Amino acid sequence: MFSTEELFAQVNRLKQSRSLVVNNFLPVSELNRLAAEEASALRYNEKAIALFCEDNGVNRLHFYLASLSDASALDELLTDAPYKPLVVDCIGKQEQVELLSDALTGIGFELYARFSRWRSKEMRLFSEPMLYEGMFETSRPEDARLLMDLFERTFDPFDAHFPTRERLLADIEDQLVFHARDGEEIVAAVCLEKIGRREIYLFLDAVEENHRSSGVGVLLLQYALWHYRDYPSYMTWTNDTNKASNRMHKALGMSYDGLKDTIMIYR
Amino acid sequence: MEERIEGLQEIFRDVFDDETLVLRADMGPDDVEDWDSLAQMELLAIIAQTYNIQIAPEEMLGLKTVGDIAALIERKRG
Repeated sequence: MFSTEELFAQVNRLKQSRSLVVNNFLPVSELNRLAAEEASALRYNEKAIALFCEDNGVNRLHFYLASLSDASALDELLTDAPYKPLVVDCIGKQEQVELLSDALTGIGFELYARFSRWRSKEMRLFSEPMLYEGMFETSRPEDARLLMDLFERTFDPFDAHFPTRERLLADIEDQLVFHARDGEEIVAAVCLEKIGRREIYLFLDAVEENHRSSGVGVLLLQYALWHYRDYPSYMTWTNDTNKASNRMHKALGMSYDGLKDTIMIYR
Repeated sequence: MEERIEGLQEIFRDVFDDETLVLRADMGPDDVEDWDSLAQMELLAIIAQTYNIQIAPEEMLGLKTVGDIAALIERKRG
């Protein structure tokens, strides 16, 4: 737990520096939520602030630095970290993300994964995804357990922000979650989210390992997006090394929009 | 079956842009570079058109190898 007043006071202190580095800034609502969590902790020194928090089983680090050259000040705080490993998302334009990740590498962080944000103003959808309605379904609350099981089997928790059960149920209630079945088993799932009124975020896209390259992932995504085909904008994050995912999103009409997320890990 | 696999070879060579590709019944996505979900869709669309058959999404789940695809064509064409 920590005090948000103390955090803001320390951030205001560091703001005196014209070179303040703020990575992956959290909204106030999220900071208030984290402040009340037992597992959250705040540490700071003259040149750095570290916010440790637990995100659905993954230990994450948010930080502020007086400048990029003060990364060693962050290193001092990490020796007293309440838990490890720690995952950091370095988000921004490519050049700034490279500078930041280089600075973190210098204090013992390792590169874990690189993601890029893709966007599209119009999705190229097949004309008949609704014909697959027998195999694909809009998820219901009773599907939540099987969906969570699928996500746990198919996702790397360090580079995918798993939904909590509560978030998943809220998305199901909003009819944003879709899945494919093979018999009784859920073998693929797509979770969408609405960003305001104008953008659909392709949040999660999971396919059971032994059903990959079958085409079911592509068709299910088409089926899901068909339900939201009139939105003016679509967005997703793709792993730079996942060629299949990148090809699929390119075929849908999406392209890289300039924002990067380099995931670093401190063990 | 062998004849069907030979017939598929041209389609696979075209989709994967690889004239040296030689198909075997046991070949699957792990054996051919870029054989991903999108390529599978492209393959099945061309196969459906070439052989004048319909492939239901449920049937797609069972198509793991070249042999599976050849067997499906055999079943549907007789």
